[in-house]
Amino acid sequence: MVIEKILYPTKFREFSLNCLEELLVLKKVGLKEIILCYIIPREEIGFVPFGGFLKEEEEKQREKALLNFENWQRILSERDIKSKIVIKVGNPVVEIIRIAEEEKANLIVVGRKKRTRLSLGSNTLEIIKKSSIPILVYKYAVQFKWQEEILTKVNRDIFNHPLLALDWAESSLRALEFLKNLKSIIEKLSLCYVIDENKIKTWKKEEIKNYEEKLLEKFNSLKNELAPQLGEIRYFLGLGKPAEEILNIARQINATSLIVGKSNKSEIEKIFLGSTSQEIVLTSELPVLVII
Amino acid sequence: MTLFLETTPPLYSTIPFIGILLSIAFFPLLAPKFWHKNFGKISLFWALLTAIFLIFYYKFLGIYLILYVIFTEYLSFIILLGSLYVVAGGILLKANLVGTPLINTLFLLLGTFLASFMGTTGASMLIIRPFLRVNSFRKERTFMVVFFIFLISNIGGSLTPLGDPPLFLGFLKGVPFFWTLNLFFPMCLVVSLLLIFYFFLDLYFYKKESPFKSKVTQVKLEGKPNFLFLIAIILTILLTGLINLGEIPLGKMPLSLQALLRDFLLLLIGFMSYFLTPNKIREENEFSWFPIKEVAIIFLGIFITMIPCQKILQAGEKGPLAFAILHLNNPMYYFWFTGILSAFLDNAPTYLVFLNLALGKFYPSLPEKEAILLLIQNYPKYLLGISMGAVFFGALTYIGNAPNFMVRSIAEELGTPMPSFLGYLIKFSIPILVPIFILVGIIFLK
Repeated sequence: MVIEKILYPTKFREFSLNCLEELLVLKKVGLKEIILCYIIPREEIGFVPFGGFLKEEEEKQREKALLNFENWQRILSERDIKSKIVIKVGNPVVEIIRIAEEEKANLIVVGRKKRTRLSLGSNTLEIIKKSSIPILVYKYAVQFKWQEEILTKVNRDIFNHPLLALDWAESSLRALEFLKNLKSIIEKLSLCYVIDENKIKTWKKEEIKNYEEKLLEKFNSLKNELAPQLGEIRYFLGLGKPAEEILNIARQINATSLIVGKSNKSEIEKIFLGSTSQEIVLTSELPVLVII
Repeated sequence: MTLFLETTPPLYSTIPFIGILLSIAFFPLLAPKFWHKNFGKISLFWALLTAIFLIFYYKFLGIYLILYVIFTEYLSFIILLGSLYVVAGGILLKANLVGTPLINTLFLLLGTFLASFMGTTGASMLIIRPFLRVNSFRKERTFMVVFFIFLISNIGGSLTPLGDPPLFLGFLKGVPFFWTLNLFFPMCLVVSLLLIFYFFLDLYFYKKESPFKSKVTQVKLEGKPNFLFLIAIILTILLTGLINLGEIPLGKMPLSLQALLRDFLLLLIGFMSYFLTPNKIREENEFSWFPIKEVAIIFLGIFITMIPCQKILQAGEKGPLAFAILHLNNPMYYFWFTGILSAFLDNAPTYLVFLNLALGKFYPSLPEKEAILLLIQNYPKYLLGISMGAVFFGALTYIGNAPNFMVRSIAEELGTPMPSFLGYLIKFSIPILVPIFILVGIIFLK
């Protein structure tokens, strides 16, 4: 699937323009238009208890958003990328999904400011849950702790070296197809698979070894199959807690972004067992592309 | 059974109650943005003042009193409102109609009828968006929303305790479920007059605007299982009102088992509706928890600050408000005083205040439930006056009843200009409603 149209909802937080600028590289792979979208949460201006609707506040927010977007539009038109402004009042998640469907966008890009394990009330996770198109969760500058050090990661050139976390499910295989369209902007591609330590707890050494061999075989044949289309591909096998280990691999190889398939787990399973893709979206310091 | 207090609280203990009601009345007018951000803190402030007073004055009994009101009245009230709100939010009305005067009048009639069964909030939320959509081509829409507030957000809720919060509070206090049917004839009179007036007003504007005429007539209803949940809510309220499972003591608090069963079943129905209704329906309805959350927060403050007030009024002529109780000796007074205060304060607490006033007047030392049954038996016009006043007059201002502000907010968001607080009062509610209320008072309370 070629990314021709991106929906870029924003809250005008710090670095939101930087994120947008980082997306412009996608022009090389077919990007034609970016829909700039600002949703004024209805709760901020509507249903004033026993009052009504803060019309003036709505107008103020619209005006402010419009001014910002007009500046952004100038940057986009300089790069010969079309743009459209959508400003609406409503539930951000519902409206973003609705606009993506109406505009037939190929990718939704959402900014996220922090790394946190708390998923409660996260609009990003809700969008991922409800979207039928890929979502790029972009964190431009994030602090994270690694090997006892607090580091700040500024994410630029995010498509240079993506790491695709495979679980052999359909969505992660679809991710490979998606990446083929990005070939001309990817310098190198890495693949990884993490064996869940809980899964093999009771296995014998022999069984584990056989399993590893099978996985390596799978990786090899995939590499051979994809090499003509995607160029240099490296693969990594890990063992541990999947989300944690995927992040470790990404740090070790200096990946610039992570690509994951959307979890197939039901909502109830996610609540009790968690979902690797969800945990990566929440805790990664790298931008995460979630393929549906 | 209620907690018995040996001494009546002093008059000054009602200051937080007056404070919270005045906050509701004035902050949305004078500082709406500040109020929107801080209404929770303001409510909590008044509630805390009352809590501190009660604990100082009654020691441990004060704590029990607060917990008793929260567990036996507030939670039941919010659970009912919440379950009706969730169920109504799961029904999607898609009307591909043209807003002619006849269609609009039928819309209002349908909503008025539904309001008694799904609550004024539920019916308002169900119908306001389709109502505005079918009229989106009309230039003058303000009067339509005003009549919507009159009929669906207020007067339509007269027939059952589910209809309007004050009537449910009355039911919680011991007014029998079907007693509210006594409001049938007054309600019919008010609704008929309003609908006739509305029809001709709409006709006038329709002819003046001479909009295009189309014959598209499609009405689609989605989320129909929620009508079953609605019936389940009505049956739950009805049946748990008929049985007596006794009480369980929780410390000094006697908790009624049938009330606990009712609340549990209402919660269950709400959960079932929420999880079984496709998300798409709620999304298209623009369903949001926010308005009900606001109501829950504000009403927590109202219920707590109301405690001293209720106790003073229940003390009747022996209490510090003896002068008021002595002089209020006609159902008409109750109708007008409940009404006017309901219009400018919220109608639910006002209803309780005047119900307690009547109980204090006639049966000062009797337990509440017993006193209510005697009031119905011996002085039914008093309760009729209070109920009509609370439900009908809620329509007089934007702050009279919770759904008024929700409807106003949605209408303004969708581009229908709404009059200011005073504009609503002077241009619409006083000239249209007050003459009708005078007539109703004379016919039914004299």
